[in-house]
This record gives sequence, C-alpha cells and structure tokens, in this order.
Amino acid sequence: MTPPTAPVAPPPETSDSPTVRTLREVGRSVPRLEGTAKVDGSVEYIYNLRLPGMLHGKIHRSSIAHGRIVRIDTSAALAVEGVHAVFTAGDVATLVANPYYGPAFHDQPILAIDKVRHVGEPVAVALATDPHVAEEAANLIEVEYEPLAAVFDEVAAARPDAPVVHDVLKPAGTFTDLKYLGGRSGTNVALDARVRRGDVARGFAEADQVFEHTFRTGKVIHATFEPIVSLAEVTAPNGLTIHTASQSPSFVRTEISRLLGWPENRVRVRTAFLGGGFGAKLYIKLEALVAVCALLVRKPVRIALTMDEQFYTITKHGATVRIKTGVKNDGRIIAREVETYWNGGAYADIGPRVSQKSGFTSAGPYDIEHVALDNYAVYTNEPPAGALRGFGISQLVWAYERQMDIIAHALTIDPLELRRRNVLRAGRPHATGTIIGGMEIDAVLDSLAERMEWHRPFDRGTGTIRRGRGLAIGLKAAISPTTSTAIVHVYGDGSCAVHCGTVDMGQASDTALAQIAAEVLGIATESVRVVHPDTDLTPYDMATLGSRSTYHMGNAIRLAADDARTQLLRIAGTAFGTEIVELDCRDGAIVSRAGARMTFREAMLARFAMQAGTVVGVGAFTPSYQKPDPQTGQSPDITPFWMIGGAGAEISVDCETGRIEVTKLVNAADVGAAINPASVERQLTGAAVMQLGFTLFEAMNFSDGQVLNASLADYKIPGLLDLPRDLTAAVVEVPHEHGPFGAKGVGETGVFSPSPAIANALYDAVGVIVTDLPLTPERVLRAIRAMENRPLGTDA
Amino acid sequence: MSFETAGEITVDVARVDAFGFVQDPQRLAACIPGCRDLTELSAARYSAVLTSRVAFMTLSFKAVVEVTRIEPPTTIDATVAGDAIGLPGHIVATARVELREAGERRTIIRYVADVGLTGKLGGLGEPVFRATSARLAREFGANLKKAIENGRVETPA
Amino acid sequence: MKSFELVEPATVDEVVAQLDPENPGVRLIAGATALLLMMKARLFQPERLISLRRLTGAMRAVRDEGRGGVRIGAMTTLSELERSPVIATAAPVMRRALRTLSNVRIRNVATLGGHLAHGDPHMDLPPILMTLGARVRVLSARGERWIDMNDFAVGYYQTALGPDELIADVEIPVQPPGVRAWYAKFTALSADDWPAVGVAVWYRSDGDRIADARIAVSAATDRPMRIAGAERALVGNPAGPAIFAMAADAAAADVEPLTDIRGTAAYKREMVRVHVRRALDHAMRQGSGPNP
Repeated sequence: MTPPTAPVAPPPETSDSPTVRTLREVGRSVPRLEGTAKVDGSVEYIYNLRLPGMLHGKIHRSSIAHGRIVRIDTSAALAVEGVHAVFTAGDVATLVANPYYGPAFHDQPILAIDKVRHVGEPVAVALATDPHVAEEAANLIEVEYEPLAAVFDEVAAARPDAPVVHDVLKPAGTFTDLKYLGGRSGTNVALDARVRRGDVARGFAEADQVFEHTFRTGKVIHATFEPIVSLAEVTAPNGLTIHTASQSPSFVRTEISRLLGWPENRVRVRTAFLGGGFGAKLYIKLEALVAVCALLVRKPVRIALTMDEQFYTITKHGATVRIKTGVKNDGRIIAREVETYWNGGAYADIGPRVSQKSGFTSAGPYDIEHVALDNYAVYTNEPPAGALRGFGISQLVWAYERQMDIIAHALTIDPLELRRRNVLRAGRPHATGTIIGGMEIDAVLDSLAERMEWHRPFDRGTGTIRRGRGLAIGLKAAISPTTSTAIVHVYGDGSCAVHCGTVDMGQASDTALAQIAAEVLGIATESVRVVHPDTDLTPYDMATLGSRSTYHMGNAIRLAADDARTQLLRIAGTAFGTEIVELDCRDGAIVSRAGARMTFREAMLARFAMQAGTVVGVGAFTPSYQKPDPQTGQSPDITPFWMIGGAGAEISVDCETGRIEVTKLVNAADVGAAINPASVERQLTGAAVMQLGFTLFEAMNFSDGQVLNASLADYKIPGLLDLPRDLTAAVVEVPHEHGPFGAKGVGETGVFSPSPAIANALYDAVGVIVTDLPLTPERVLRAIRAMENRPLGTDA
Repeated sequence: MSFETAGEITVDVARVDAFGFVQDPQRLAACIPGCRDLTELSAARYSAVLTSRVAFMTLSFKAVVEVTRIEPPTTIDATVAGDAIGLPGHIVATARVELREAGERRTIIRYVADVGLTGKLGGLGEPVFRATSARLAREFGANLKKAIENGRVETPA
Repeated sequence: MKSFELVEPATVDEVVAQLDPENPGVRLIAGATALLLMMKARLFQPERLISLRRLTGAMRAVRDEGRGGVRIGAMTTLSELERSPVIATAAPVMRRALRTLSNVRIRNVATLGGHLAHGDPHMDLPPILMTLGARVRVLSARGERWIDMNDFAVGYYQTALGPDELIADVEIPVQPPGVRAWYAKFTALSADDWPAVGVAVWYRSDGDRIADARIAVSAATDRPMRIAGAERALVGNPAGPAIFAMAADAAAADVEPLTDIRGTAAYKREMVRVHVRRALDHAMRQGSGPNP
C-alpha cells in the first residue's frame, strides 16, 4: 500500500490523529451550504452580472471549416444603429503583439488571423449596449474566404499526406515534454506519447490467442446550462478585472497577463458559482476576447455564448482506439498494444494533456507483462476538443472493457472472473512502472458483484425483448504535478472563512472543503464560509478539474486550518499556562485536558485586546511526481492517487427497433474515504447519468465540419424519463494514506465504465459487437440484423 | 449537410437549340425560382441573389456562380458558392445540365445539383431544405420547358 | 435578432385586421415554443408578431358537444388538454399521447392551435386527430371555413392555412361504437425527444371483421399522412396479428421517409412497419371501451 516515494508535502500531523479522535464533520452528509439559495435562485452566477455602462459583444463566426480569409467587410455592421464598435484581428493586434493563447500550445488566436480552421471560429466581434443590436451587426459582417482542403477524421489527419491545420506547431512551453514539438511543420500530430513495458512482440508470440479490434467514440459536448460567459472591466489606475464563469481563474490571470505583457498583479479574475463546468470552462474561452474589447473601448464588455455557440467552442475528443491483446487460455493477459488517435479539433486546448495523461492508462486496470501504448493528439478541422469529465478516460475504457467481454466469451470465462484474474493489485507495477498503492480494484469488483447479484442466474428474455447484463471497470491517474494553496482566516469574533481557488460548479466543493476546515478547527461546517475565487483574494490553485480538488485543495485547507489551529492553541496555552499538546479545539473553543475552556472569540480578545485582528493560517500542497521517460513512459511516481470506477448494467433490448432500456445501473468506486457521503453518491450517479447520454444517444452530427444538431432541440441529453429505474452508487471506502482524512477525488469516477457495461450487457443479451458510440437504436438494430444475415438497407 | 436534387424534362426542340438556350446565363437564370440580379463578374463568372421561400421562412443568398465546363451540345457544369443574407450560413453547390437527343426535334434535359449548406441552415433548416429542394427542382423544370418551347417560336432556327 | 413589433389584440376581429397576407414577416404566435427556436436561429425574422394570448373564452376551452363529440379552442394549452376530463373520456388516445409530448414546461405554454399551425411533421397530435376524423375551423376577414385534418398539412412546415387566417377551434366528431385507437410514439434519442416515427391507428369492427380503418404516420415523412394501402389491407378482415402484419408491410411500402439525425430513411421505414403493427396490437388489446 505504501508508494515508493513520500510526497513532497506530507499531510499535516495534527495533535489529534483522526484515527484517534472521532470525526465530527468529515464523513457526515452535510447538506449543501448553498442548497436553499440555489433553490430560491439567489446564489450568484456570473451569467446574471450586469455592470454599469456595459456593452454586449456578439461574435461573427466562420461558416467554413478551413480557409484563407480574403476580405472582411464590417461596413454594413458598423452602419447598424446603436453599434458601438466592430473588431477584427487587426484591432486585437494593436494591443497584443502575439495574440495566440492556449494551455498546451499557443495556437488559438483571439480572433482569426489570416485563416479559419473550423466552422464556428470567431472572426470578428460587434459591440453594442443592446445584445440584439450586436447580434444583428455581427450577422452583417461579410467575410470572403478562399476555401482550403479540410480534414475531419483523426486517423486520416495523422497521415503524412493530410491537409495541414497549423503550418507550424507552437507549444506553450508550460509543459516541458511538448517542447520538442516546437517549430515542427507539415504535421497535424500535436503529441505522440508512448509507454513501453516488456516486449509486446514476444508477448503476442507467447499468447495462446490474440484479439484485435478498433473502437470509436464520437464528439459530444458538456451542455452546461449556464453558458460560457465572461465580462471584463478596466479599473483605475491601470488594472483589469475579469468576471468569468471559469474553472481555472488562476490560469486565466496568468494567461491574460502574458498576452497583455502585464505583471499578474494588474489582472484580477473572479468567479461565482458555476452552472455546470465539466471541463468546458477551463483555460481561456472568452476571457481574452472580453479583455481586449474592454481595453479597446474603455468600457465593461460582456460576452455570453448561446447554446449553439457552445457546440463550436469546446467539445469532448472523439477517439479511434486500436487495441490488440494477447491472452493465455487460462485468461491471463500477457500482452497489450493500444494505439489511440485523439481528435483534438482545430486548436489544442488541453488535448495533448488528455492524450498523454489518460493515454498512459490505456492498457486498463490490469497487470500485464508486455505493454506498448501509443497516443496521438491530432489536429483536425472540427471544433476544438478539451477536457470533459474524465479527461479522455471513458474513451479508453470503452475500448478495453468492451474487448474484455469479447475475450471472456471466446475463452468461455465469466467476465467478472476474467477481470479478477488480471487486475492490478497493491505492490505490482502499473504499465508506467509506478508501483500500485492506495487503491483496491478487488473491493470495487466485489461491490459490483454483490449489487449485481452476479452469482445468480439471469433471465435473458425471449421473443423480441431480450435482456442482458454487463460490467466494466476502469482506472484513472490523478493529474500531476499540480499545486493548491489555501488560507484560513479566523476573524475577531471567532468566525472562520476559507479563501481558496476551488470553483464550486455544482460538485458541492464549498461544503466538502468547509467540512475539512471545520473538522480541523473543531467547529461546525455550517459556520465556515468558503470565499469564492478572486485572484486578488484567493491564492493560486491550478484549476478545478480532474477530480483534484478534494485531494489537493483538501490537503491545502487541512494544512492551513492546522496552521490557524496551532496559533489559536498557542494563544490559549499562554492564557492557561499550559503546553499546547494539552489543548484541543472543540465546539468553537479551545479546551484543555484540565477542563479550561476559551472560545475563539475570547482567544482573539486575549491576543488582540479588542474584537479585532485576524489569525491567518496558510497551507500549500504539491504532491510528489516524477515525469515519465519520453521514450518508454516509465516513471516511479506517475500520480498522487488512482481512481477506480466500475459499473454494472442490466438492460433490455427491443430487437425490432434496436432501442436499449437500461433497467439497472450500479456505479461502484473506490473513493478513498468519503468526506460527504451523500455528495459522493450524487457525484457518482450524476456522472453515470451524463455518461448514459453519451452511451445511448448523444452525438454531435457533423457534415463538412458543420454541426447539424447544434441545439438542445436536436442534441438531446438525458431527462428524468431516461434514468434507469434502479440507479445506485456503491461507495467503496479504502482510505488513502495521503488524502485529507483518507479522501480521494470522485468527480469523474462515475463516467469511466457505464458505456462498456451497457454495451457488454447488449453483447450478453443478443451477441452483437458494436464498436462505435453512441448505441443509437438504428446502430443496434443494424448490428442485430447484420448478425441475423438480413441486413437493413442503406436507403429507401 | 448536403443533398442531391435532380429532375428531367423533355422539350420539343432540337438539342442544338436547347443547348443554345441553357448556355445563356441570363435566360437560364430566369428559370431558376428565386434567382435575381444576375451580373457578369468576368468570363463565365456571375453574381446573383437567390431567394427561397420555405414555408414561412424566407432565405436569401448572395452567390457567385461559375460555369466550369461547357461541352456543346451535351453538358454544362457550374458551381455555386454564397453566403446567406442576415444569418450565418453558407451554400456550396455543384450543378450539371445534360442534354440527350430523343428525336430530331426532341431533347431530354437532365439537371442535377449537389447542394451543401452550412451554418444555421445546415442544422435546423436541413430537413426543410431537403423536402423543399424537390419542389424547387420541379418548378425549375417547368419554367425551363416553358421558356425553351416558347423561345423556339420566337427564335428563328 | 432584429427589432420587431409585438401586438396583443383582444378580439378575433382585431387579430384578423393585424394580419398582412402580403408580408411573410407577419405571423401569429400562441405559446411560441416552436417559433422562438426558429427566431433564435434567425430562420424566421419577424416584422410583426401577433400574440393570441388575450383570446380566451371559447378560444381557450374544451367543450363537450354531447355523445362524445368535442370542440377544442385553439388557444387551449396542451397541459389543459392533458388534464381535461372531456378529453379523458372522449379521446383517451389523445390524453396518453399528451403525457409524452415534449415536457411539462412546454405543454404548459404550447397550444393546440400553435401545434397545428406550425406545420412541423414531428408533432404528436396531428396523426391522432386525422384518425379521429377531426376538422379545423379557421377564421378570416372572408368568414369561416372548415379544413379536414387530412388536408391540413401540405408539406414540411406548410399547412392549408392561408396567410390571412387563424385557427378558431378543432372539432373531434362523435366516434362510432366499437372503435379502437392507439398512438405509438418512437423516439430515437432521449425519451422526451421529438418522435422519429409517430403512428396513429383507428379501426372499427362490424361483427368479426374490420369495417373501417384509419392509419396515419407522422415524423418520418415531410407531413403527417394517411396510409391508404395499410387501411385497405385491414378492411374486411378479422382483426389479428396476421392482418396487422400485412397492414404494417403495406405502410412501410407506402411511406417516403426522410433521412435526418434521428435515423436514415431505411431505418424509419422499418420503424413504420414495427409501429403500425404494434399500434394495431395495442389498439386491439387495450384501446377499446365505449370511447376510443
């Protein structure tokens, strides 16, 4: 269970170990602190913010997938009554010398320069006090293009003869492993990341059977109900404030400062509650554009996307996964080769990180001697792809867990048993060489088996309605290296506030983080206020992404709260004349073993002689990490924690229509220890429902780079009637040695496995192999009819 | 999204005369429902405004038409590219007109257009366009037949 | 969105006066749930919208005409229809369909008149009303006229309604005894999606044979339409699986489905086959009673 290397910042040693002291706040299903205010509509969202004198911006977007901009005519737009300004890349250039942004590559222009690379790319922006006037003007901007050959498929785009999306690759420099790509030209491959372990050729030679398949997933979107929205205002004497629905305010400050050539202290970035994030609101989305507009017009500028614009702004990677697996007849997997092409769209966003950080787990949660994994982040002329709940994991689990059941069937081994024979266990090396610890896959499988009553016979139905069941399990490595910093304030009246950069976008982080601070300080969670991110007030945090906040920010807050606690104990120790080891914080007071008691308020009075002053506790947390060898992908310390998510599904299939009804869906996860059990269950179930949509029907339908269903009228997400009647989460608690009170992240775990679990149930029910998501009725019916040798025609 | 729309008419004129009609852009354009303001930009290149009434929606495009191939007396190829007026959308189409002799004074004219629409038109408008294109093709055919057969009387052979 | 005029007349006469048949930018709105989608997409850019929301009274009522006949005012919302006891007894097939029509937020504002006038072939009620033999009463400065539901839809988003007309009400006639009716809705995406295929069936038996049959298909085609071949296959035969399968095959052969994001034409043709048969099965097994 012990990782080979200790973290750089070990967890705090409080005077009471949680194993000794009974936990009061952590482990309790505290109702969300903002719950009532969310229901009555009074919580703050940036979308609702209006600033005095504000202008609305509307974007004119490219109507073609790839082309050279020959001419932009803004005269008709400027002639619209009420239009304040119309800007193009030329105007941006007057403020920003190198107006390209991006977390991995500096490849995305604030407004298109010379070329457009996807349908929907921002080309110009119109500003007006009335958003409808701005919209009218934006539509009257005329752009003439010289079309260029476009490429949409990720495998085709990786070929040497494919049309090239970017003439020269421009890595950001933030990630050292991307530096080698700098200046490379004539390619769409924005990252080629590999893992090599053992000798796959030998493994396949020694295998009794070899299985080879290609699986695909299409592009889908986050569909956050609060659209992507940013406002910028110029502030005296020389600053800029950006109000933005962002998951990464610290990154926004750094990137805007870099673009403007300003020191970071002149840029203030703040957020509020987010109406959903799921990875859509990371890095720079509208922030650079509103910043430039506000600086050009010296007025506040707001841009909010409509739902259809979101389809052209950020998506989830479509992927093609070729997977080849060598097994012994006893079911042992001895070799696996996985080649994954990630469709990153026209701009890299965080795609190369998705490709590498998820890509190194593409052999699955299995103990395999010979492994070769290749990941290609590929530019295409589709809208950009970035992070979407799971950071690429669900695309990979779709492939390796779907193939697992095909292998199980071929070897006539029960699918659960086949997994048990192969899973990674503590002390064994992962494909990257990191020794496994802090997770128990067996416990998750046991939990699934129990909830699914796997040992019982299962009625598979007769006639046109058939039933099936399936399970799947996936793993993810938490992204590393990242840092979180937190400040805990104890005010003069004894009340407490946590200042941190974690964004509560619906995952209930405010409540969970307050629980951690409350636990350390011995106060009630409900009395802790979590201050929302404001880079003038809250210290650096990498971002709210990748299920990292509970672990990273949780540890930072625990350290900060312990720092504040120690200071309070010292104050009381001086007053009582006792050593601080004799003292504890409990029920809002410092108490001694001898029975002396001093409330926080009294402690503050004792320290400052009046109700004034602040005790400030500070904590920063950066887990240890060793970057992988670029040739082999090997690292002794690849991740701070592993996430394990399994799903079990029971379905019925209508063999005449192909429609699948998921009747039961269980999501089991190793969560470390649950800080807030109710929130953990909701996170798992919410993620599973999101993935259910991606499994059964969500798909962006493209035609020449154009999205045919860019609206919620035609891109359907699951509603209440789509939920399985039996939908549960199984929380498996295996406390993590270095997690705050044993906790790990859980925001993404529920998305890993529902897709292959449902497809495995389909396979169990009717025996068809469907390799592409989503499992639409037509796709399923076509597979059934092809198997029955009476294929459905191609057209009327 | 893209779709194909096609039609065929038989006209009671000799192929050479029918070809003479269809290779005249002004006369041909007059047969295209909703086509107006045809202006010659350069040899074989024209601008035009195309307006289509689809149910209660009126859609207009500012388009450039380029005749890419003329093979008397059988084939004319053209491309159309344009932007929708007042809403984000782009149209790209390739069209072919083929003439086949069906007798001394009888010609079969077949026309095919492969139409691609992007922007808002490609999404919400798709099914409507698909459904309406057949009607437009029929109207075009009827107009063309009438114009050619009337022209036969007026134009000395 | 361009500026436009919004008028809210209080009487039918005022509405008629505001209509401008020569101007395609003038349009009536009721719940506006469908038209707003097209306005947001700029596919429809109005000059004047004439809101009918102040037309109440008979325009927003479900009236029992006796012996099971019903008159429904055009401004009746879909949720009012869904909860109407008159509809529950006179046309339970309609009530069942209303429960799965879009979602409750839409049903609370969308009206029957708007549902018909929009002319979208994906609407659930037109095929049902066609099989129930409903008629639409429309008003204009020229007076009133009746349009048979079978003639109401003429194309994608196109109806028989003139640009100077508005729908006053819909009449569902008294249904003969022994009628069985069912509506099968098939969604290819989420449960609350538009149907990929809608099938309404209605038949009446005389003795042990089907004397009269009506089958209408919607959503798969550019307008809801009766399928005469399938109806003919039923008439004169005893109700049962064999004849239902023949009617289903006839329907599949007759329809001309459109390919879209909800399925290819070939798939929709197959779904027409499956759902005509299933709807007839349902009608036989459950869709009976004194009133359909």
